[in-house]
Amino acid sequence: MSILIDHVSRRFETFAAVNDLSLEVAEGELLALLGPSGSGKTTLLRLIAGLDFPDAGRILIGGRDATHLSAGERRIGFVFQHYALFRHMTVRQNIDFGMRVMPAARRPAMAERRARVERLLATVQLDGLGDRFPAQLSGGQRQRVALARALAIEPCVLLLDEPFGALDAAVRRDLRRWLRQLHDELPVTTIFVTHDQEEALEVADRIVVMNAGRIEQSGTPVEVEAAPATAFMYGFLGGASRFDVTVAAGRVSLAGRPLPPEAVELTAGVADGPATGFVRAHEFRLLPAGDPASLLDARVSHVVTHGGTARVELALGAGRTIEAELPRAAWESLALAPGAPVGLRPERVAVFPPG
Amino acid sequence: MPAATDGLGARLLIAAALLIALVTLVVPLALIFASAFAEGWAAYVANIMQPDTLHAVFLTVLTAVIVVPVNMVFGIATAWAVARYDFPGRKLMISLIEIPFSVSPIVAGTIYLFLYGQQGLLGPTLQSWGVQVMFSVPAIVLVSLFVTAPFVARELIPLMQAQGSEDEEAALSLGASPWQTFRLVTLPNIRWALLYGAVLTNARAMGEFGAVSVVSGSIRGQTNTLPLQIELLFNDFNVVGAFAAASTLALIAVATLVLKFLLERHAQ
Ligand SMILES: Nc1ncnc2c1ncn2[C@@H]1O[C@H](COP(=O)(O)OP(=O)(O)O)[C@@H](O)[C@H]1O
Ligand SMILES: [Mg+2]
Repeated sequence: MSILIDHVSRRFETFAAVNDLSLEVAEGELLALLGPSGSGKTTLLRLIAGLDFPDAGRILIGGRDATHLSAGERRIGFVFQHYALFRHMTVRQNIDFGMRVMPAARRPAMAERRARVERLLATVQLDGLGDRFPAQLSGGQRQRVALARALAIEPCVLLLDEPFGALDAAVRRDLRRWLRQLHDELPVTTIFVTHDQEEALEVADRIVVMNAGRIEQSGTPVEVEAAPATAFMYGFLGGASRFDVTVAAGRVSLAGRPLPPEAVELTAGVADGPATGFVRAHEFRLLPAGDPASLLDARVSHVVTHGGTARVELALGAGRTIEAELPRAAWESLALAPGAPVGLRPERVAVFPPG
Repeated sequence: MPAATDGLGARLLIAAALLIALVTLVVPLALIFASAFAEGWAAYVANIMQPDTLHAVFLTVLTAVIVVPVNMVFGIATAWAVARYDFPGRKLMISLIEIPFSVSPIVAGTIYLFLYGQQGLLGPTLQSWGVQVMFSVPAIVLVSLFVTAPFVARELIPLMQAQGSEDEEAALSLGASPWQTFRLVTLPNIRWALLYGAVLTNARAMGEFGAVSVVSGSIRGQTNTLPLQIELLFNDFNVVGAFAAASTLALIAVATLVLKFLLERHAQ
């Protein structure tokens, strides 16, 4: 079902963990919620699940006002960051729990309950482990039990709080693909929280980035990746270098040299005077030292080649290093060794008000 | 890893510890049973079966049967409130729970005397309604409730704080009612600590002397619990009788220790 979050706030004492936030999630969408630690992701998820209640605003689920419904009445599957499996119950009993506690009138017959548990065990690829206790499972297996348990109530919305946060890299990669596949087969509206951009970009239909209780940017992974909308987004997405620039009558200069207008992206609200520019690693062009097109002089300090790309660490003087990324072939054709001087030309500079 | 035990100093220390344990723990316990059986099995049984002693056993068991469940409920409720909610006075409440442990049992008994006695605060009012609290079974139950109040709560609070409320929230979001959540998730999560607290409560409720002796009035065959009966028999120079009664309390103590040991192992 669709979710509509309408100007919702949640304050702890005077601190707003979620601050006048509005968000719409379409039926069947797989949405990734990103943001630094403490930005209010868990709080927002708990508000949607009915485990916590907003101080202001409304939450609509499937068009129905759910702001004051209890967690049980919302039928939302919630997968906790630390799984919260019932330790004294077997895997089967854990998965069955939601059906077991249904009022007798709605509770499926025993045979149907058993069949559904077996089906879910197969879905999460845990056949044969149904009689184990949570303590006898690996982290990835526990995570999947938690997911099966949430799915057993046939939820209208699925919420996952950093579902892969505590797992090692290889297991994460597997589980994340598997989650994508599962969502394609079983299109339940899903929000999952992550602090891993790569995970969000790979799995989600749309990503929403939160900062200080508000939404900083929302869009498809391609949109967000192509055009970070705020200075915070450049910092958060990482890999971008920050420069102090000067704006005069719409012309921007970097270290006293004017930047070509086609390379500059001025955001609204930038006034004449000092401003902040961001250049992402892959938006630098490396030139031989002394090339007239060069705008910055640097020195190669370190290179990592990985697959088809080369990641080059460059010293700008005054102890400042920045990172550039270019195709491996382009790097090799420059024939530069660590310590060699090199010219830099930013091909796209996003300019924001100073801050 | 414990250090190797081959040094002379270590051996002496171990020997001293064993000797002290023997003198202070094992010998007295053995003596209780030896004295109880000094005049043979028949005399032992006769002493236990003596009506006043039998009534004391009954009263002690009755007290425990009331006190243990009531304080289990009280302990769960308190621990729940303190571990799950943040409210003004929460810290104060954690300290208040400890009061029965920090005051001498005699003081606890005296407080009840001040409250419910003939010259007490509430005594005359209750008396005018025909309710006699002091020197009766209700008084014994009340002080026993007081002195054993902290045991269960003290076991549960740190455990419930450490476990957090995620399991309960998971149950709620899966559609469980608050009562189902408590019965199916909370209670199983705390059951060993709860039983452990109950065993300690039981041991103390059965063994309490000081507070009970102040409020019971020690009426033979009416308001005498086992510990009071033992003192009474002893003052009557009925040594075998006293030790026979004491041996039942000692047995309860040994059983408590065994249970405590088993529960501690389970809780881990
Ligand atoms: N129960 C609470 N009481 C007080 N502050 C809280 C509570 N829950 C969350 N917060 C605060 O709200 C902010 C957002 O927390 P959270 O939603 O957990 O962030 P995230 O999941 O994005 O890391 C944090 O600063 C946190 O300290
Ligand atoms: Mg969080």
